[in-house]
Amino acid sequence: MTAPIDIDERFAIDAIDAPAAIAGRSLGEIAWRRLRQDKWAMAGAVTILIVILLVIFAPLICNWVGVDPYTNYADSHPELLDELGFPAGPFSNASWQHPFGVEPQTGRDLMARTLYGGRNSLIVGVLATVLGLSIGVILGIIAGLRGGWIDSLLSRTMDVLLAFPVLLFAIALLVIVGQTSWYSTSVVWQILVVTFIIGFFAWPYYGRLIRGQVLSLREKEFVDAARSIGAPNSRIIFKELLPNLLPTVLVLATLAIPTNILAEAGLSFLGVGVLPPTPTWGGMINDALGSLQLDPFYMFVPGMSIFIVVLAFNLFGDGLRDATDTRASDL
Amino acid sequence: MVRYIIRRLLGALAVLFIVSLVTFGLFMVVPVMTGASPAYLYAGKNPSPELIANIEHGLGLDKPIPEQFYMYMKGIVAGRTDLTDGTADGSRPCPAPCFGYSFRYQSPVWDIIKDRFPVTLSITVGAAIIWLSLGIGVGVLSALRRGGFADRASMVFILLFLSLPSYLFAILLLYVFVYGLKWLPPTQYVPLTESPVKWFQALILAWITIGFGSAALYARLTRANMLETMSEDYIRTAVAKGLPRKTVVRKHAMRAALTPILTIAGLDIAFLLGGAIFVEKVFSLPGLGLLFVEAIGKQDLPVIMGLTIVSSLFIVVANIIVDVLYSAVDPRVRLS
Repeated sequence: MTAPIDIDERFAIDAIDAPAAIAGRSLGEIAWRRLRQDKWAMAGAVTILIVILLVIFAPLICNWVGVDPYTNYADSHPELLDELGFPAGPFSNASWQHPFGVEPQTGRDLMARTLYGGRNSLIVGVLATVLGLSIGVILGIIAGLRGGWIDSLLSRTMDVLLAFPVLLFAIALLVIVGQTSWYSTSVVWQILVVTFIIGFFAWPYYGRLIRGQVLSLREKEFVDAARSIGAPNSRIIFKELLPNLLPTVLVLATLAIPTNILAEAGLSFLGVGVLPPTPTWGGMINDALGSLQLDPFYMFVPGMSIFIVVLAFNLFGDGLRDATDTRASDL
Repeated sequence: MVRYIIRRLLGALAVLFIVSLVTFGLFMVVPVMTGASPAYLYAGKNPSPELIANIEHGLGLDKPIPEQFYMYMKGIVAGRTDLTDGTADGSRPCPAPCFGYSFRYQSPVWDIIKDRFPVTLSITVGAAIIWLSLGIGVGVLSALRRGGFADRASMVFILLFLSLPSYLFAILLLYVFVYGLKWLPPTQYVPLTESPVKWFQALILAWITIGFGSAALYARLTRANMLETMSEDYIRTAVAKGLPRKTVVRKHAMRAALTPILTIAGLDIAFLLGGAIFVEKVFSLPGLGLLFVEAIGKQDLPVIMGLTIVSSLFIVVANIIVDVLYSAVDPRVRLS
């Protein structure tokens, strides 16, 4: 990846910056320095920050413009739509009052729906990642450290889950719970259930990876040393294993969040998961598919949102992985 | 070898049994707990209580749940003759493999799956050809020209397609080539045997969608594997003893680097055979994926169950095939 010229430059900078005495740097410091020099990763990070701020302040922004995601503005302003029920101007009839335009048939504000939809997508993406990673890391450590029948049991469980047609099964599950009234009437339940399903089906991927790392880490000399001075398992796990697993977990997390955002969007696109009228990006794309020919801009807004957010996370995740890769030559 | 295959087949049966058990449990236990018998989904609007009771009896829903599960599993292996549509003479023969009757189509689930499978198979084969040739080609090329223009360009290609969900790409293609440029007619699937040209026109966008999306992933994997292999000692040895670079790349590096890729391809193809849900939905291709989407909309439980089990069958079978082939291609792997 790195051309020779870059290495020369880095040495040149080091030579200027370096204090008279050679200062030791921790692995974390080295990774941070490398990450800061990665333009694309930093662009991803900045984009992620902007998007997070936008969705956190969604209520404020919408208040300021004077819109909300649920009102059918066509009821009070029929001139927004033409006689067929499609936006009466180009770009979904965008205006100062409705910056991203309005939805066909209802006249709901697309900016408000995109911002609030982003909120739901990011909440599900992040929470599902936290859940999946927690289960994966805990069970991966247990399987790798304990071995024996516990390892066999956990490994077989992961094998079976990985052989599941996960998407079909998740959809099926959501179709069933979608029929119950506690689910269909509560947005909180919908978000929690979707988060749980995505997180639960993702943990075997993380668990298998962490188990493999623990298997090799536990044979290392520093773990032997800790054991020989009588360190309990809890100390081995928290002081010896976890710090060494941290880079893997961080990289997994940044790459899992976009995957889970896409999973949520996919479920909403198919009409299960977070149900209308609650806005989600996948749901908006599904709605926009119906009027693609007459109102293509409706598709553009949620489509670009998903693409940009996922791309930003992927850029940042790739940069983070390169930065924490301890096998790289210039350590 | 034979013992290994037998053991793997037994393991696969166990996995399929667990999948069936969980799927069945989901569909039979949960509706009962939530208070709505599946018979209501079957009956249509405003059924009378007698009709519901008759349907429940006809579908065997009035039996204890373990017995229902036993009948369902037995049906898959041996077929069943006990199903009726709720009327006295409405007997429903269901030869093996019997996954019950579709609520919506009033015909055996297996017949519908058989009917729809050629579409999904067509999509899968075409897409796999694109993603394997494009993905491996781009991956090998960018690994051999590491840091060069081709490498950088392919990294951009990879990142873009990894961040673009398949349905969005499909919609984009649909908008540009069908609605905008009108190069292709609106999708109407035609079997290959009827008109190869129309078959090709109906599928080409689906192939490109899945092909390019997966190619990005495969290019990334191929590049990483090639780079790792090219830094192995035996490659240096091969170069040092004066073999031409072409021979080293083709005979020594690619064979080792691509074996793991092909095993992943086996599993991805198996996943896709269970239905390319998003792409079939966008292009209205009547394969297993669209069947599944329709079954969700109509809450056609037997179809959803049947498809879930058939999909996992593809996956476990592909797992075994891939492992056996792996040992044939890579002499370092011993089956035990």
